[in-house]
Amino acid sequence: MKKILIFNFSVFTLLILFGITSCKKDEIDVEKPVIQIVAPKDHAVLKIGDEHGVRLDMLLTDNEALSSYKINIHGNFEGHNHAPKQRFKAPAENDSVQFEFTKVWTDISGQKSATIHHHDILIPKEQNGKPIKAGPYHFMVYCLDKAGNESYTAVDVILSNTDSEEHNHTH
Amino acid sequence: MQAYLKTVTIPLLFLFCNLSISSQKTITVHGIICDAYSKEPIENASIEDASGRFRTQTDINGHFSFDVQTDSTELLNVKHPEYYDITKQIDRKNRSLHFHLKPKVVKLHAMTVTGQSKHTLTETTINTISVNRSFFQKSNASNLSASLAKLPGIASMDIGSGVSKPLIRGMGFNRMAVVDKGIVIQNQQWGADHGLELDQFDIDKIIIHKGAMSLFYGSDAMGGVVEILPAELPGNDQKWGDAILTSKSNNDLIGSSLGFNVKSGKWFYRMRATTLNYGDYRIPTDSISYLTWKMPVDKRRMKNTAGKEINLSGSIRYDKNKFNSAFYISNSYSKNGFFPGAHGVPDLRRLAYDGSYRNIELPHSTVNHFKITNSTEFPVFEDWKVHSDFGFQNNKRAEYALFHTHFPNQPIPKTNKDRELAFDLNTFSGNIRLHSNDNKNQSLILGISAEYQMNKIGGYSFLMPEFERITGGIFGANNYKFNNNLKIISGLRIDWGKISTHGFYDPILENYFTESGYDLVTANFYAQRAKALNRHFTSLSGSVGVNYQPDNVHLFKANLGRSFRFPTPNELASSGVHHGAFRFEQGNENLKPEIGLQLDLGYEYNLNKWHIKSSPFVNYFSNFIFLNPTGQWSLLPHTGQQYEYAQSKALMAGGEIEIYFQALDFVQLSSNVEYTYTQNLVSGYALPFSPPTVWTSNAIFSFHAGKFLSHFSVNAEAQRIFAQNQIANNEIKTPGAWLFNLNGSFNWSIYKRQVISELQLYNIFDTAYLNHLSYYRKLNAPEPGRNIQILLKFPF
Repeated sequence: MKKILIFNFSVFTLLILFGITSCKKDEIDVEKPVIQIVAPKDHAVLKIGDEHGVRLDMLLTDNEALSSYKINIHGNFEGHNHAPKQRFKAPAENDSVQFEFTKVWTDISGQKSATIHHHDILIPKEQNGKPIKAGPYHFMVYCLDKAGNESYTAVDVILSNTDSEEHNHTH
Repeated sequence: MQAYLKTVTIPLLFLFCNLSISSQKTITVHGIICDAYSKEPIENASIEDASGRFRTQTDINGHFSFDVQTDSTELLNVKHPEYYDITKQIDRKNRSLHFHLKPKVVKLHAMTVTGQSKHTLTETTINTISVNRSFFQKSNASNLSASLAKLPGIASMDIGSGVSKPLIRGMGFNRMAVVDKGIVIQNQQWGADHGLELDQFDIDKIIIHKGAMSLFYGSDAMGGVVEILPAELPGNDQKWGDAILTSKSNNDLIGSSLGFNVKSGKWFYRMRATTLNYGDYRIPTDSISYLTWKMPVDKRRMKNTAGKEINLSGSIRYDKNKFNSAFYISNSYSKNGFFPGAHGVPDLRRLAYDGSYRNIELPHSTVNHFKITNSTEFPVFEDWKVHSDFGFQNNKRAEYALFHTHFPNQPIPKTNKDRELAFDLNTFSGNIRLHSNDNKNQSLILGISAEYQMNKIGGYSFLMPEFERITGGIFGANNYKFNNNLKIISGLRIDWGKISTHGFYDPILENYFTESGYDLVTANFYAQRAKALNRHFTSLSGSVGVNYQPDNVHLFKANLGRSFRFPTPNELASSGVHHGAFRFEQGNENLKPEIGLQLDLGYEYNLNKWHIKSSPFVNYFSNFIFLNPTGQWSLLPHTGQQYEYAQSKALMAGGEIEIYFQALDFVQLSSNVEYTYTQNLVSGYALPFSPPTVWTSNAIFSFHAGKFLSHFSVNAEAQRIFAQNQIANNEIKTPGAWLFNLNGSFNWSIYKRQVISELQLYNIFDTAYLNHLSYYRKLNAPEPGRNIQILLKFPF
C-alpha cells in the first residue's frame, strides 16, 4: 500500500516536471543585436558647426532580424555623479547650452546585418539661439532587434570649436 | 473561633512540612542535554520523574538543575517533542548529568524540523522550513535574507555585500511577504534595490512557508511567507543576555550586538542593539568589462560599496493566566554606498581610489525603518481564543546622487540638492483572529485584517508617485482531523482594496521637449510622469490541502491554493526612466489583480538515519504582471526602448529535493537541489529574475570535546550554481560556478562561562563568479571573493 503510494507520488511528480520542460517554445530569441562602431572613435573630437556632419561608420548585426537604431548625444559635464573634486572643468560660458541630439533610424528593419555610413548628424553652432557648449559629451548608440532585444554602447566624444580634428589629437 | 484555628493551623502545618523536608539532606543535581548528532544543547527539554511529575526544563544553553534527596536513585524521563524520550537513573555519586537525545527526524543542524510552533498563525499543508538563532550565527551572511538564501528554495537578490532581498521559489518583490510577529513588513519591496531592514541577530525563530499563503496574509503572499516568530516564553524567572562580536575579512566588517532579557513574574522584557560597519568589498578581478569599457578595479575593491547599519529593538510582554500582550518596538537604520560605475554611463574618472575604503560617498542610499506593534491573546466564550496584532511602520528611503541635469533646463534644488529620490511610507495594520480550541478534531480560525498606507515622495528625480492604499480582508479556515494520520485544511478569503495615486506633472520635462522642437502632445505625454488614479480591486482566494502521515516513516502533503496580488502603484501609474536600469517604464492603469493557481506537493521519508524530502510545485498565473519591451524608442535622453507593464498567462514550476543522512553519530551528510522553471505562456520567454538551479552538499562533523572545549562542529560545503540560460528578453545569461565553503563552530567553557565562536570561510578558492540575481550582474562585476569571518558570542 505504502509502496504504491510512493510510486504514484513519484510518477506524478515526474509527469509534472516533464510536462513543464516539454512545453517550452523554441522560437524565442534572447540574443541581442551587436553594435560595432568604427567612427566616431573613443575620445574623437567633433567640430561644432561642421557642415559635413558627424561621420558615422558602424556595423549592426543580429541573429534574427534588426529593427531600428537610435543615436543620442548628451553632455558629460557633470560626469554623472562625480565627486565634486573630480568634476570636469568646463569653460565658463554662461550663455552657452549643452547640445542635445536624439534621432531614430528604421531603415535597417528586417536585415540581419547592416553597414551604416552617413553624415546625418549635424552639430549646429547654436541651439535655440544660444551657442553650443564645447567639452565632453556621450555619443550613445542603441539598437533593437525585431524581438525587442536591445543593446547599447557609448563613445566618449569631445565637441570643439577648433577647426581640425588632427589639430586636437596632436596635443 | 474555628475560623481562627484554621488560619493558624494551616500555615503551621506547612511550616512543619517544610521543616521535615529540609531536615533531610538534599543535593542539587545539574546537567546538560544535547542533540546526539549535532551536539548542540537542547532548549526547553523537560525532565520528569518516573511518576510523570514535572521537575524542570532546560534553559537556552541546555542546562537544568533541581534538588533531590541524597539517597535518591529515582528514574528521570527526558522529553522533547522533536526527540525520542530517554529514561535515566540518578547516580548516587555523579550529580552532574549529560544526556544525549536522538532527534526523531535527521535534520540539517540549526534547522528545526517541526514547522509548527505555538505562535505560528496556523498549521498549513504547504512546505515549511524553520530555523533558529544558531542558524544565523552559523551562517553569519551579510544580512538576514542572504542567510536565508542558504536554505533550499530560497534565493536572494544582492547588492554587493550589504543589502539583499529574498525570493521564495523565484517569487520576490511584492510576490512574497515578510511577517514580523503577526504584522506584514511594508517597506519599498517593489524596488530592486531594497533590503529587508531586519536584524538577523534579533531573530529567535523563523518559519518559511513555501507556497500560496494568500488565505492567511492576503495580497502579496503568493510566493510564500517568511514568518518571524516571537521568542518562546521561558518557564522560570531568569535574566540572561549575550554580547556578539563579529568581523569579516572581505569587506573589513566590524559588528557587535548586545542583547538582554529579563523574565520576572508576569513580565518578560527583551532588548537588543546591533551595529555593523563595513568597507568596500573585494572581488577577485582587476577589471570589469562592461560594454566597450574596461573598468579598472583599484586594489580589487568595489569602490564606494561601504556601508553601516544600526538596529535597535525592544519588547515587553505581560502574561496572566491565559491573557498575554506584547509590545515590540524596533528601529533599523542603514546607509549603503553604490558602485559609481553602475549609476549612469560609466565614467572611468569616477572609479579611481578616493583615499578611503570606508567612506560612503555619492551615490548612496539611506533607509530607516521604524516599527511598533502589539500582539494580544485572550480566551473568549468557552474554549475560543482571540488573537490581535496591530502595528504602525514608517519607512524612509532616500537615494543620493550628485545633482546633474539630464535636462539642461532643470534648476539645482535649494535644499538637499543631491537627494535624487525619497520615499516616506507610513503603514497602519491590524488583524484580529478568532481561534477555536485546537484539541478537538476540528478547529476553526476566523479572521479580519486591514491595512492603510500613505506614501510621500521627494528628490530631484521621479520614480514612484505619492499614493494612498487601503486594503481589507476577511477569511475563515478549517482544520479537520479525520484521525491521527489524515488532516484536511481548507479556507476561503475575500479581499477588497483601493489605491489612489497622485498625478505628477513634470514642467521641466515639458519644457525640455518643447525646446527640443517636439509638439505639445509629445511633450505632455512625457511630462505626465504619473497619472492620478483611483482603482478598486476585489479578490477571492482560498486553499484546500491534505496532510497524510500513514506512519512515522512517510508524510505526504498536497495543497491547492488560489492566491492574488493587487497591482502596485508603480505598476499602475508611474512613467519614466528607472534609474540604474536605463529603462523607460510605463505604468498601465488597466492592470487587474494578479491571480495564481498554485499546487504544492510534499513527500518526506524518515527512517533510521535517513531523511529525504521532495517538494515539487506548479504555479499558474492568469494575470502575471511583467515589464514588456514595446520595441518603440523613448525620446528621453539616456534611455533605450519603452517598457510597458503588461499581463500574461505565466507558469512557474520546480521544487526542491533534500537528502540528509546521519552516517555516524558524529557525521552528517546532506545534499539538496533547488530548481525553478518559469515561462511567460504568451511570449515563450522566461520570467524576469528566475533563480538558477543550485545544488548544495554538506558534510558536518560534530564532536564533544574536553572540559575546556565543550563541543565543536565542522561543516564542509560544496555548492554548484548552474548556468542560468532561461532568461527574459534583455536579461543576460549567467554562467555557472562551483563554490566551496568551510564553517567551524566551537563552544568553549571558560571558568564555567560559555563562549561560542564561529569561524566561516566563504569562497575558499576566491572564485570569480557572477550572481544572476545581483544588482551588479549587468556590469559583469563578480561577487565578493574569499571571505574569512569570525563571530564570538559571550552569553551571560
